[in-house]
Amino acid sequence: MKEDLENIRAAALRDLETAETESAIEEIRVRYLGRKGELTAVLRGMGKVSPEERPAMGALVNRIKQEVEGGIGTSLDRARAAERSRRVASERIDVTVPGRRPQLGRIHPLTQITNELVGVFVGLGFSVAEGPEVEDDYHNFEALNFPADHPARDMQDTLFVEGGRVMRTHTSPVQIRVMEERKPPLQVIATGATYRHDSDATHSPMFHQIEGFMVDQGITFADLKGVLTRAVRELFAADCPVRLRPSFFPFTEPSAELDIGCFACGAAGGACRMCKGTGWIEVLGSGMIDPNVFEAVGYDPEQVSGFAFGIGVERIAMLKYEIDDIRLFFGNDLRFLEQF
Amino acid sequence: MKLPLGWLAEFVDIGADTAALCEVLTMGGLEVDAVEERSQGLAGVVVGKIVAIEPHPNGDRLQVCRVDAGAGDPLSVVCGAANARRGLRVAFARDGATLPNGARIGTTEVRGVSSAGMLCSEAELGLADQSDGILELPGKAPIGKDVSEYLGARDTIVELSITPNRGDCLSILGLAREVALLTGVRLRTHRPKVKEKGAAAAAEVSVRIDEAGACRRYAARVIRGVAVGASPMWVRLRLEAAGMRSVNNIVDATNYVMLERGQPLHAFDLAKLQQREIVVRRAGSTDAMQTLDGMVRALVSDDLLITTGDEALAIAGVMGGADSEVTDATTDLLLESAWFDPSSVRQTSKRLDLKSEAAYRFERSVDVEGVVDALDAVAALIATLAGGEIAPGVVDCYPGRREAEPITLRPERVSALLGTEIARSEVRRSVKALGAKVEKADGGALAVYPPTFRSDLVREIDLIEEVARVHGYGEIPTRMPVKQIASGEVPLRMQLAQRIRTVLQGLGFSELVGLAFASEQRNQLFPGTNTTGRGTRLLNPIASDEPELRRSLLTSVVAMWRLNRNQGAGAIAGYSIGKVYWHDGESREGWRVAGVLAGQMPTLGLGTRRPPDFGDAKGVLEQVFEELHVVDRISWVTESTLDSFHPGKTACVHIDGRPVGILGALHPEAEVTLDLDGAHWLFEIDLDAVVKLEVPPLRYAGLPRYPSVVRDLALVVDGDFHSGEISRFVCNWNPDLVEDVYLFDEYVGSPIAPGQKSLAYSIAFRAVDRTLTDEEVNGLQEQLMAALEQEYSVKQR
Ligand SMILES: [Zn+2]
Repeated sequence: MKEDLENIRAAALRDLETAETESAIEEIRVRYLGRKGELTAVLRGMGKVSPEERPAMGALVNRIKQEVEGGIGTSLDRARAAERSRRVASERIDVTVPGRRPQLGRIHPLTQITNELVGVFVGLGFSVAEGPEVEDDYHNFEALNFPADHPARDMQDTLFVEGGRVMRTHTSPVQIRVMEERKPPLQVIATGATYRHDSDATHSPMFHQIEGFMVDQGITFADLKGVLTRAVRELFAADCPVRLRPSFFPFTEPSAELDIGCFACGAAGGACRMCKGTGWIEVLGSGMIDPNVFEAVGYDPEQVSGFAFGIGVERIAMLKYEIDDIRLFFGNDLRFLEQF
Repeated sequence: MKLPLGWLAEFVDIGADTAALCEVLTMGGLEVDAVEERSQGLAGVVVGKIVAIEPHPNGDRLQVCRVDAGAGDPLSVVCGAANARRGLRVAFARDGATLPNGARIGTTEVRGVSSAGMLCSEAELGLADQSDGILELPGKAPIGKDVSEYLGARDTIVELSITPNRGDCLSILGLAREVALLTGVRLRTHRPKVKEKGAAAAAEVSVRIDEAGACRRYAARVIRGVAVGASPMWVRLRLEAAGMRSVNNIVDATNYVMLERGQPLHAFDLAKLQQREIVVRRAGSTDAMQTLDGMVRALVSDDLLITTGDEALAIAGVMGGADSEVTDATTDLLLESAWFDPSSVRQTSKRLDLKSEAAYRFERSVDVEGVVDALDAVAALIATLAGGEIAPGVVDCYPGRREAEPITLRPERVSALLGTEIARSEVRRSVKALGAKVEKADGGALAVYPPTFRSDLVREIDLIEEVARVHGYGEIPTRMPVKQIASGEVPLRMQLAQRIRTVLQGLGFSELVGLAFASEQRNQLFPGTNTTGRGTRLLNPIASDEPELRRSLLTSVVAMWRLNRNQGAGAIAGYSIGKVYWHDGESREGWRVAGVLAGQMPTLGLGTRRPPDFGDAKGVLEQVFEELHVVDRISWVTESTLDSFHPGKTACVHIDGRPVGILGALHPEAEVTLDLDGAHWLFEIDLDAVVKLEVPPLRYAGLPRYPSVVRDLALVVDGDFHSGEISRFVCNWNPDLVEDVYLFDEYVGSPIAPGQKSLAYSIAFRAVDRTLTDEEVNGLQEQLMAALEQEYSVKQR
């Protein structure tokens, strides 16, 4: 009997050595250890063994069973590893097929520029305010020191609305509305659509502005220069040259246009188209808030002072992305929008 | 304003560096728009002298001239002009010259005689539209000199943007004053010299001003015996350089002096005046007159007129009348130089849509003290150009003379506002440099009397600006304000809009921005979400077919869809966040979000392309509301959708039972109207309503400690049954134990009876305090089914 067991053990281990697949190994397990397996058959013959020999024989059967089971485990590991190698050797994908991309939408370039500008000014402590687009003459002009019948109104060709109203020609009326409601110190920007009766490659009847103002005791022209220089350098380049030159806006005095050194020609000018050879690009209008504006909102110009500025969003976007036709922004051709 | 530098140089030294001059002007607030080098297109045309002349052997009227061009031997030139004669100095286009019409001149053979160039007429030189014979140059014209240079046709013209406050810079003299101020050089001015003769002007004409507010001063001169004709070349060239056309020597003289001194002037034919008293008055009952351009202009009673008797001679400051126009037959002139009220001129010129160089200057105010100087200058120029005798004396009616009022200027205020210390002495020097008279005032302040040509200087702040300008903006320090540290705030609407953009971007939607204008038809088709009344109307729309403001963003969205469909775009997924407008007695406006999903589903790569279905579009909106934490408060109802939407494919979106928007497909009739088709979904949401929602602050909910049990439930219902009913019923049936329910399958067809459909829901049961047993869940499911059968006519499948 002991001999039979040894033979079974040897045969099982030999069979396992050559078994290559999980199913072959399973067959071996059934053949030797299964209910009708060879080892089981030997165990059934235990009755014939003398009681003295039984413990030793039992231990032997268990040892052999464990050995065979161990062998099965080893073979299975080997067979599964071989199976993985076979799989890895046969599986090949075409990594050059296009990715199945859920389409990514785009944020409109004007929104992107607006967000960037808002971010810069919020970072400098300005809060955002909003106001109506259909405005009254008082907030759009009168309170901003545009007298009726003054040529300054020609600077802003107006779209008139029934009921004596206008489409706001700039975001500046928000200045008035905020100052009417609140007291200094104020640090506010206003963003949004503005309208002029004008339409060609560089003028859209609807366009966007960011307006800002700061009012407190002792705000000076030097502060205006400081804040706006910081802001445009954040927007364009940390080292870009900045200059202010005298200009005219009814609601500021002294008034200034702010130019930055042309980034296309490195402020060299020459035949540069971006700056028309001047080396400078106009980016915003600004100035110290006119005393008449303060008086219109009930502030005492002897007590408070402040500066204001206005930036054309389309202009900045056109400069940044070198867009030559303003109408592209409002045409909404996906081939345009998807570039941003 | 076109500034010919040659003209400017008569009044001030400008040096040779044009770029440097432009920089000075720009940094002084006179922005240079463009610089034009002007040479009349003449190259290689020089002054020549005809030293000998003989008839052409083979030509009737041709002659062969020997021309001395200053270099080498005289050249043979064939010429057909009758006025070619020996000793004449001419404009000689040499071999290699080019003319303004682009013609290149070479050596040619004319009927067997070699011709080394061409003798030019005024027309050929581009100096006149037509001309007889060749141009005759004066006997002192230097032989060999470049003709364009000799004639002064070569000049640099600087084009400036003059801001509306600087009417004083709308003249050569005014700009010369600025150059002198900004560069520190001396201004050369001269008072015009007038040689008078004959009977005094006052004996012939008188002036009466009825409206001293609208006409502070009116001065007149009389000239007798002028010869109206063409202006000489130098006058024509200067007018052209400054952007004006030559008319005749009289009109040209008035324009010339206006360009030089900024004072508009007018010449009347004295003989055509019915009476000799000039009256400046309102139009009153005079309701029309014919202006110089031949048009009959309707007048209103407030228009200011120059009249004599009951005859209107001119619309003051805007345009002269046809009746008193100077013609070739005119011999005696009445010259006008006046100050008219800017807003009166502006109102009339705007109403008549009559823009003129004169009105432009009056609107920006002229120098009331310069009126007579300009009148003298134009009289002297006319005498030079057209002959005639200037009658002695100026008829000067000046009821609007004003005592000069000083402006108090506090030097410490200058420093405080500019943020830099500017010495009192510098402040004083700066305003004196403007031409102001300065006296001492109380408390160390200055009493400043601005020059009369600077009518824009009326307040202390105006002077502070001038001090800053003279000081140089670049010299003022750049520094950050000292202030309390506070971060900026962004309104909730903008924050929510940004979150919506982020979600929609991730779901493949591109943002569009449309113009706010709409046609009446579009506003009827898309009357908007939560809008009332009618569309807001524009009084002067950009395009006549879009006279209103959009009531709905769908107007813009649909335009974007059509454009991109026409471009052949596959997937069209776009949205807009913008304003809509309506009018309910008042002008209203509000924020909306609208979008379109059309064409194919927005996915790139391998796989099938499929059109979007309702679930795709609804899912997009649900994700937007998920981001805003209000998705559980949304309901979708079919009642009260818009006529332009398909009644069977459209839902109103409600939040907390109140309508906030719409999602659906166009009505087939609207598709035809809009020329659009194919699978599509449109939505519009009232952003203002969403912003107003109270959203409780987010709080963490504990993670479940016991497992859930998920069961499927398949029901057979009528074909038009709303599946959402079941979902809502199940959720509310036992909120403690039913955690979630969703529809995962909808099936129509065999073995389901026609007219019915099968809905399969997945229901998750969970208790917070224990693990539910199978038996418990089985029991719940049976009770639920019984409740459903009782509530609806449904059967379990
Ligand atoms: Zn450049």
